[in-house]
Amino acid sequence: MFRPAVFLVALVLSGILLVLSAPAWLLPLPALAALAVALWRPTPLAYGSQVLPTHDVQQPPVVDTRLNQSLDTLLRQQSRAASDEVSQVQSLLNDAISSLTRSFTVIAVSARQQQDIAQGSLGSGAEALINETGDTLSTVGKVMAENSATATQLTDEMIAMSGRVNQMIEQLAGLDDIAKKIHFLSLNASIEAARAGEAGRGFAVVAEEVHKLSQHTRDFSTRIRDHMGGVRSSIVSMESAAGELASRQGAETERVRHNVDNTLVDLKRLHDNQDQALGSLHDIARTTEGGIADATMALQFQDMVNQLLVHARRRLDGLLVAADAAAECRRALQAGGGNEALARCQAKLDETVASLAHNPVAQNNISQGGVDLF
Amino acid sequence: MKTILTVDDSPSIRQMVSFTLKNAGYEVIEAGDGNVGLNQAKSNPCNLIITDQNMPGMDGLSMIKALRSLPSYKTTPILMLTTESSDAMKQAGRAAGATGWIVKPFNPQTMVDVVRKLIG
Repeated sequence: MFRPAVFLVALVLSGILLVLSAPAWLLPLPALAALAVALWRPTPLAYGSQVLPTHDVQQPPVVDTRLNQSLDTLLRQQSRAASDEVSQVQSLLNDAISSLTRSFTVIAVSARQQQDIAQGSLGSGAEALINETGDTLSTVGKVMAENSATATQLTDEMIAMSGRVNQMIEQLAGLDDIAKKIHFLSLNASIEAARAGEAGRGFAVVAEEVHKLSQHTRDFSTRIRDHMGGVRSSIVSMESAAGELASRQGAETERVRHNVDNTLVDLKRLHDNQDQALGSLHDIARTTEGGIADATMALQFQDMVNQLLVHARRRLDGLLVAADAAAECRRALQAGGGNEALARCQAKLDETVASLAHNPVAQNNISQGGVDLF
Repeated sequence: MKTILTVDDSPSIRQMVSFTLKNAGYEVIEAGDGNVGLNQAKSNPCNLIITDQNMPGMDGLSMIKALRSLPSYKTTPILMLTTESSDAMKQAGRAAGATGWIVKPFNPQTMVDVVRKLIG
């Protein structure tokens, strides 16, 4: 209030001098007087960006004392309340970020397990199974085709064998002719032996034996013909069965080959689909990992914010230190301590400011920090 | 399996470092400040240590100096992982015996790359 009053008086005086047409050099006099008064006021002590008032030797009025006490009380209460609220924010942040970090950890682990399971079920194991199934089906088809060819070859062999059996039966007729000729020879020999009388008795015995031999030959030929007939019947039956087998095998082989071809196409398609699914899973896994990496970086804001809050609390504590210093200074001044009390207060404030000068967090965003290897 | 000690007063940072390095195939042990970290390092041989700077009790630089005075940790790689990014602090870290300096926030893949480069 003092300085505005001085300047107001100076302005009024200048107006009066102007009205009285005083010389021009008199006009700035009131302003110079006001400036002198202002300069005469003691200079306040500089304290960083803050200013600590110099002491006034006069006793402070009662109203000022009450105001100072109220301000002091307000400063202390609000500093403590703000400090408590900062602690509360720290606690909330710690709790929330710990929970979020755990959640992201679980998500990351689950995503990795999911990928491992998918890789296990769709990956090399499934591919090996598909390849093995394809190979087995190809082998089955090939074996069936070979069996069909063998059945056809068997039929041909049966037909050839049947022909050879018929030839053998026809050749048995020659044996019958021989037996018949021997029979006639033995009859002639018997007649000639009877005609020779006593002298031909021995020859008659030989003729009789030759006759028996022809009889045995004929019986033997008959038995062989009967057996060969049985063999020919069997061969005809086998030929029929082999023919039927070859025919059925051929049709079945064709059907199996068709099915195997279709199944192999399906397996190839399944394999391609699985490859595609695996590729998509890899892409999703990469995206998930990228998201988790971003989240991991973003969640580190809590550490930075926490350090800033700790620093802000220290600043609030610094305000309380300043309030204590000011109160002590006031008491010393009231007790007549003078500039010595002011110097102590200033030293205390300097110490507080120095301890708060370093901010541990320089970052203004959460982009990746640098890496230096020494 | 190689063992890494992570020292940080922030549980979430420890959790993130631990998760990142475990996924990369390392065994990770944790400590909440420099004093606990120093004791952990003494009782568990570590192949690499990653530490914060500003912690209650013993700070990161003090812990590095204490570790470097131990014969078993003369050459063990020690990385600082901190919000501090001034050249003066980095110089102090280098003088204390730090192997490298990572400024938070760290990228998980970058951290794994740096660790692999140092201890394989």
